[in-house]
Amino acid sequence: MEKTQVVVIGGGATGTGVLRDLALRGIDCILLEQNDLATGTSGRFHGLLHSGARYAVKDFSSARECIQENQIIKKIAPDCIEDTGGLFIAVKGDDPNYIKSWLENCSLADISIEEVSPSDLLQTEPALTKDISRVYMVPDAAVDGFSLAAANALSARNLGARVKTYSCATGFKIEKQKVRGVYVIDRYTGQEDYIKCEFVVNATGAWAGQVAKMAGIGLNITPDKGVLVIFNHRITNKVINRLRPPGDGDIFVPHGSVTVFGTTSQTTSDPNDSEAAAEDVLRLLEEGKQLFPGLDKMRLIRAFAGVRPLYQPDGAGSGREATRDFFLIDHDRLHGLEGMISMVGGKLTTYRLMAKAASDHVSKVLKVDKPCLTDKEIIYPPIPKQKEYDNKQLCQCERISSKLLDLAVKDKVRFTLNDVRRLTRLGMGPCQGTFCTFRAAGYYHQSRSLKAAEANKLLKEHIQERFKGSIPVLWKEQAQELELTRGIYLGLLNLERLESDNHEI
Amino acid sequence: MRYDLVIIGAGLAGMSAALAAVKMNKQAVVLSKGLGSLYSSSGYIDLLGYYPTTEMKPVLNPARALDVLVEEKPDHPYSLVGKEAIREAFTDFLSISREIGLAYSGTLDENILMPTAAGALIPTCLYPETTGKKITEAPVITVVGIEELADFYPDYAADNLRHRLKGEVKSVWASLNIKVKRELNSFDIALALENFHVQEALIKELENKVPRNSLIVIPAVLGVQNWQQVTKTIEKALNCDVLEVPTLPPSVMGYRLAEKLQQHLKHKGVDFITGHPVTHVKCSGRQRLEVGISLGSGKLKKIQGDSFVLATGGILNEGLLACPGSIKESVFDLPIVNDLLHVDRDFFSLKAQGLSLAGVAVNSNMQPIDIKSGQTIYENLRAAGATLAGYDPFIEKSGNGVALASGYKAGKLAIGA
Repeated sequence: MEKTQVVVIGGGATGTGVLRDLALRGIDCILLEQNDLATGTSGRFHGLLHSGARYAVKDFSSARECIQENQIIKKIAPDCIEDTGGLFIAVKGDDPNYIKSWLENCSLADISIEEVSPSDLLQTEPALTKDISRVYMVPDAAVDGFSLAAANALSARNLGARVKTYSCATGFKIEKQKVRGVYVIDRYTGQEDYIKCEFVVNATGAWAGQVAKMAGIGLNITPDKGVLVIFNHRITNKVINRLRPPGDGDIFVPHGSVTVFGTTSQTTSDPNDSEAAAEDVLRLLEEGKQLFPGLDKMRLIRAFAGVRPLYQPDGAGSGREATRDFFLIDHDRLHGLEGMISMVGGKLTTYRLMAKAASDHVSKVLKVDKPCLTDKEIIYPPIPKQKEYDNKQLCQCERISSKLLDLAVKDKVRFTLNDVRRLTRLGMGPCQGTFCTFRAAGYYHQSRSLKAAEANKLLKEHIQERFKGSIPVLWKEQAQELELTRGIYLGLLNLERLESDNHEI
Repeated sequence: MRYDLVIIGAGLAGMSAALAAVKMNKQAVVLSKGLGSLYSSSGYIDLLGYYPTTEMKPVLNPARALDVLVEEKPDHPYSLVGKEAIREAFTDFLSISREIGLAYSGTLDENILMPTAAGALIPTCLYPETTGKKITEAPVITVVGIEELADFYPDYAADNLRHRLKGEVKSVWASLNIKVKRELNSFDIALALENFHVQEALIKELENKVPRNSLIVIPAVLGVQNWQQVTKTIEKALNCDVLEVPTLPPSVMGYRLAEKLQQHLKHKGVDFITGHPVTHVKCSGRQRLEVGISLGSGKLKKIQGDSFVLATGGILNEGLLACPGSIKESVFDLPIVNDLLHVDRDFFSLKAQGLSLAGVAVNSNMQPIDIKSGQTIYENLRAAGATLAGYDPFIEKSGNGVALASGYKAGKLAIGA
């Protein structure tokens, strides 16, 4: 049994943000995450740090929060951000009245906008359509959800907080209408444990309904699935938005060597529903062609889906109509259960604000009189952004050296290559792990003294995961890439039958 | 000029067709937009490693497994080529391999197990003579890694091999002392090892690390041109046998075979026009064909022939193009046997993947046919290699075997032999 003041459930941006906020106030806390950090929605979105402009017309309070947080996150997490700037583009035929109210509301929300001439823009972004009517520059940026969660967690750990990944909360101990502790299972070892605590923060996003249910509470979360695709190059060097009411297929975000494009919006019953279908991809391409006419000729490398944790207080709208505001659900006040809150709704850009609200509440309950300090200090991800040149690059697409591979697993007893990928971008580039997976497995086998079976598992899981994401886009070059990968891992290395020619086992 | 045989594609299937043509003193040309897939292949000629494909244990006698396959799978390329032509293609290849100075060993009646770079064992029936050392019978095995090479991890390979071999397996690293500011691939290292001083460095590194009389398992980097000599030098100096293992692309073993075959064919009068895709096709009725290639200048060069062999490869080498919901043959737009619906979501599944199974349907004369009517599309066009439908080379371990046999038969029939 372990003991702490606060258990935070959920290792996304919000959960790690809460952990850091509490730790900065000197509160002892433990984070539980059922998978790796940022494997839920925080790692499955477009990676856009909103300026708020997208919500200026329809969701004004979200827009205001976004621009304030946008400025803070850029300041406190520079290594997790690529400050690309963003563009809102109207094409001929787009509603001029919408543009008018958008301009007014951006100004009211203090979102700085600057008009750009379409012909100037085409000089630097030549893949764009020639049918542009108006363009505005906004302070959008690209944000890496994986490294942001990792940076928050690292900062919290340095302050004494404990982070338990692959640890799933299985239930609560409730006595006299108060949460006394959390039951937890280690998903690697199957070991069950109990953590005694004074307070629980449910920061599990789309999974919040499931977690609340374990405490006997009904929470109306409507998971909303959004499909995104990844192109193998930077189609654009700036975030591109369509200047129209938010819809499907109108956000492009450059990340590292690739571009993420999305999204769709579809209510789902299962927060684990992360699969994209070829039909979703083709529909997205059709939409996106209005901004980038050659889009369907460009090389896709994978498609994935994330689930928005939308919350509907009382029969409010769903999908695109639902608010992007976040909510603090005080279960004491609403359901008569002491010692637990749930954080729902919201979006990554406002994670720090959600964390602050949660931590303010917890501090009040625990009678800790300390202010929020999360906007004061810079946080750093475990892998630095500026990579020095090292002559043994094991992943040549994303330039990941053996040194960085060491750094990525430094504090880990167990890990998968998927965990390493989230920290380093290993296998995220154009070849999608075809070459680097073998190298990373071979490298870790030696450097971490793994057993053959463990290294084989690292390799196979990573290849399988990369393959899964390519299934919705298996045509043209990506079909070729699959055949190359099959040629290497099956045809050349014969890994599909590795265990069969075994003399000993 | 007008050629007896126009071959499109410079992989093993295309070269095999060209071998059939020169055997009958016919004039052939090989058109290819790239170097051909042989350059990145393992260099083994595997007839059939596993049958049925879902079988975990390797086939011991591929010729006998072939008898069953021909009965059970009439649409498999091997069934269409026929056992006799397969044997002839393999026998001819063995004798030509001696002629070109890259002797191959093995027979159709036995698979031997070779180590892979990950330390699995893989069955093959023909292999370069220099690799003809049975790892399964070696009492002491030393797996050697080259520090400058990013694509081979001796501890990992050795650890996997240890679980499947009776012999004692150890692993060592060796540095070649090459100072460059980037990671090297197997081709870079093979070029470096042509140099006597680099060979010396390797021997010096291994002298005290490798037990005498052990079988040295090393990535295939022992020279691009002079590997026989390099191998012998190392074997003699260390008093060991040396067994090279095919690497991730670029594959030096594939490169050696591709180069030797091409030199031989050129010497025998085959023209190679490399680097230009076939973009123009003209036909009259079901008989005559003419093709044109796009040159760098944008000009079209037309090439006439009596007969054509299409050996452009599958999806990997762009002989087939996958589009959303369909697959197209890239030169003649031939009908495709398409099982796209079948995507096995397990990458390591032993079931064939639709993308690999898809391809051009042919009759036993290797002529592409209409799938419904079975009718020949062009009388003087034949197809071979990975362009063909009905097999998954990666889990069957039959890629080079199908290429060799179907290319040979297509070439032979095309010149009217």
